[in-house]
Amino acid sequence: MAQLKRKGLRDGVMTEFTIFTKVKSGHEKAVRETIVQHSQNPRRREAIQEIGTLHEARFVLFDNDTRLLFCSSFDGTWDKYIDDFAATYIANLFDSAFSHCEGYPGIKDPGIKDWFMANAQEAVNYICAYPDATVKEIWKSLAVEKAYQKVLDNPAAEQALQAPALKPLLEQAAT
Amino acid sequence: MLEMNDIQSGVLRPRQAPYVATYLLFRIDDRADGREMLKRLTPLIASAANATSPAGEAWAMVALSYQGLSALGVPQKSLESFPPVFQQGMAKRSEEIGDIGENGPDHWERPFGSSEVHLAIAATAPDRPRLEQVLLHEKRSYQELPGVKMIYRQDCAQLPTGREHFGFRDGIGQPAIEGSDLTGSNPQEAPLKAGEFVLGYLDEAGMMPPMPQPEVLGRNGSYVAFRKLRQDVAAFRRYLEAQSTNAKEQEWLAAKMVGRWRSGAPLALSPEYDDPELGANLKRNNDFLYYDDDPKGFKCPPGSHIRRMNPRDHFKHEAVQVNRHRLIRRGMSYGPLLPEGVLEDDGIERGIIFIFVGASLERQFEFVQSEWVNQGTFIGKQDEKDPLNGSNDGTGVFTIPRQPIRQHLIGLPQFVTNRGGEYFFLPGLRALQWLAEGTP
Repeated sequence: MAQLKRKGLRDGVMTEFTIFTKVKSGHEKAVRETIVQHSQNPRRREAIQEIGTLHEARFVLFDNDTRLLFCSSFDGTWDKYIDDFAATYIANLFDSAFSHCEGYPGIKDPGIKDWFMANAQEAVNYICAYPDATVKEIWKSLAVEKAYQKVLDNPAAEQALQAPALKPLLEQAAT
Repeated sequence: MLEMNDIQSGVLRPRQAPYVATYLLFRIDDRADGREMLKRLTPLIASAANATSPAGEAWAMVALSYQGLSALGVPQKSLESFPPVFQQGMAKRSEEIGDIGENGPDHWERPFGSSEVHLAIAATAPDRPRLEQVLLHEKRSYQELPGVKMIYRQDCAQLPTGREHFGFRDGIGQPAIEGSDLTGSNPQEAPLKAGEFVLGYLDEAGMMPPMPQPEVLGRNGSYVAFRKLRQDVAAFRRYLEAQSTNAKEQEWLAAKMVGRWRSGAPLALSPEYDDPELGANLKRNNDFLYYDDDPKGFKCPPGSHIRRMNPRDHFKHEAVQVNRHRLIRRGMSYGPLLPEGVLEDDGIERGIIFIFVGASLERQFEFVQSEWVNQGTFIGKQDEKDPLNGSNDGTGVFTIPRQPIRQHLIGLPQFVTNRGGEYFFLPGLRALQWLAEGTP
């Protein structure tokens, strides 16, 4: 039976996912250029918005660019969404970077999960400062904080926050 | 083109109204008897091209679990070509799909969750006499075969109300499938590629989904998730009563939880009051999307039952591809109605037999269960589950977006409990013959 257990440590709602791959011989320069190109593409900011569950991700080339590390933190499980990503900009990014790596079948290939799994290494220790917050909850919290600061900037706020229902907000107002 | 004459009619044919149905489960103790049963049974199975069986409007379906395929002597190499999720079966996937606590396999009715559920037959008809006729034909397929044993029977029938036990019109949402005459119920949704539901065709990714081997076995087959879901109608009524001050508010809350009024009228089209005419209008009652008209869910809450089961264009600007997670769903009620107004459970089993049909248990059924029914990360509320059929435990929360301030329903208990289920493979007709012949 094929591998079912996914790799990746959890901390609260968050999971880490790390893969190490070998760059195809002779592709060292090309892989670096491709990744640099993607890092300058303004589309990548939209892409991370579209994913909505990815906290951060990085590509690291090492050993004279003969090896590539991909390292990420996200909400929930990565493997369930691989099929969804196949239709997006992320597919383009993955395909163009990992096509320089050994054995990469392409994101639309049915064997893609097995390839990721075969190249994944589970962390030994993984910790996050906000383990219970998902990306979407963090975005919402930041929007609420922005709105709250706007309220505090209004001279009428001091009076308004005296209402008993707003006590928890008043407690946050002093600093 | 779809090979309609090789696909079991039940895949593409929507539930009849009215309906009666019987599900029979079998254990195959003897390979030769199992094959003989399939041989006798196959001529009774109508194809999608000719949806009527020898018994007229009534028809039968047959499906096999992984254990069943193994019991029939399907070669090991072929067994291994089935997806791991199917090989494991529903019980072993319980944690993944939220079958925990009372929903867990330890609490299931036997034989669910055991290794004895091998073969399932479904018989459906518009009335009892015609159903009995199909069952009689079916019986000839397994009588006098000591190596095949019927181990479970479940009878279903449409309730006199024409609705499901909680009181809602159901069976409304069905996807359209390209190349079939299944038109679907939402005119705003493009037909889905046949490969999303039947093996051997291109899917929404433009790929051929992996197919069990040999091809004669896999082609024109589908996967099925079967679940017997108990509905605690009294608890649902008590909860609505406790959360509201009058009958009108109760109906409003019930509609917000489901996404439709009891008549079937969708909140997306009739957000303020029930509209029975709309609810009954098959051309209009599913004719809507969410994103442009109601992105924040002021009409139909993002966490409501129907918006979870099919978020439509909710992810218009997100990476999630809803078309990769669509389900063909068939629900059939069992047990008697709890009389109107009764708030205490009468101890009688009632609920719905839920059937999923599709090309991938993992990407379709399990994804929807784990990502959309039993959590709310996708709507920014990770701890919220489907208020109607999520595995809530008395501390469930449901957010109803409302201006100026959203409403919270809290203390949600579990209204729907899984009494047991199994994954099946629903082979095409040629595959059934192949299985019956026992080649190689």
